Amino acid sequence: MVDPDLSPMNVSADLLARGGSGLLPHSGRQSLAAERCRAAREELAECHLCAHHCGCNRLQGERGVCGAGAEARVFSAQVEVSDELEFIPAFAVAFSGCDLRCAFCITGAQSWNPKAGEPFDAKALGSRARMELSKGAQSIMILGGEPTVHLPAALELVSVLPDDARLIWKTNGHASAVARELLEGIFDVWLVDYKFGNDACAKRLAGVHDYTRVLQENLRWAAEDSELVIRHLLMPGHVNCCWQPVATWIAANLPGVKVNLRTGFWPAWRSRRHPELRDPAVASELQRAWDIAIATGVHLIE
Amino acid sequence: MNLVGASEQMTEVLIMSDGTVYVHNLTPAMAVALSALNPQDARISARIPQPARDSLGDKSTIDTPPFLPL
Repeated sequence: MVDPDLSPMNVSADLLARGGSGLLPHSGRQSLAAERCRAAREELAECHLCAHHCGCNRLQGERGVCGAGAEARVFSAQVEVSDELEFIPAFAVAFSGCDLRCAFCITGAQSWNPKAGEPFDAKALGSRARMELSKGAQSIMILGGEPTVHLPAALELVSVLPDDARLIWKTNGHASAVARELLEGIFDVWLVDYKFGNDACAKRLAGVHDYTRVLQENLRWAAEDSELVIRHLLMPGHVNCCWQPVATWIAANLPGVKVNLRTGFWPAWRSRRHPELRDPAVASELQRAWDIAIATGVHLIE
Repeated sequence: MNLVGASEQMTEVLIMSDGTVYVHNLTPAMAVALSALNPQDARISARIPQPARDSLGDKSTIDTPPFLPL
């Protein structure tokens, strides 16, 4: 059994009190998103939305690493309370398909398959989002899979959401400069998964090259563009090779940025192909992880 | 499936042999249910939206393992 006293709340109990929304209404966001949506759709003719830079013509049926075509699908749209406390309840819209191939993906069947779920319907989802906001949802979270590969649809959705809604872009941080330009000034919060602390683990577990450079470039950009929250899912056997360098880099380069260390890893999807990922993290690893968090001084939130 | 109409919601729960409970895509309704199993677990009770929390009232304590969000 994992000791609940290892919770980050015991590391710094006042963190949540400082975690309130700094929301500023995005005047004109709807029209800006609509304009960017058109530009993003044009990008599909030679797709460079993510850092794989496949360059394929998705409008003509070509497919890149993500396998996504021109039309987006959604596999989940519901109010959830498992994200950061300052965001919940969040109305979370999850697009099918992703540009990474993380063996431990908790939604692998949908994230690896852009044909999963239902056809995207911006108008209907927008209406649903407004209803959930009226019922108490604190934010609208757009995620995947990876929403970057469906940037035209994501921007179309934003174009029908209230300008004063708190919008969260939950991403794997593998976007290209093209995608960043289209996303500039749109979201209130970038919630970025910083999954791997080195390129070797990223390549082995997610099939991605040049991970660290791309991820860090996106994090630096996101910190300038919006509020940034970084997540790290602690993987068993990867405390020293992944969490340690992630925490060290954040502390040195983005001091004060909120970090959510997620300790609930479970061996989902194809985790069992990797011996160290066949079980949850053990208590000693969790303790080591919290020790690293304290030593580096990262700004933990829950 | 009817995503727009909210008729279908889903939370994944993994219960380990030692009783530890892992949860993904936690919905408010499931948060209430899990909290009822262990009202002393602050990490799960903190995730119950206020209206639902108000309606819960006092619950008897059951000795159950911790909740660990993914």
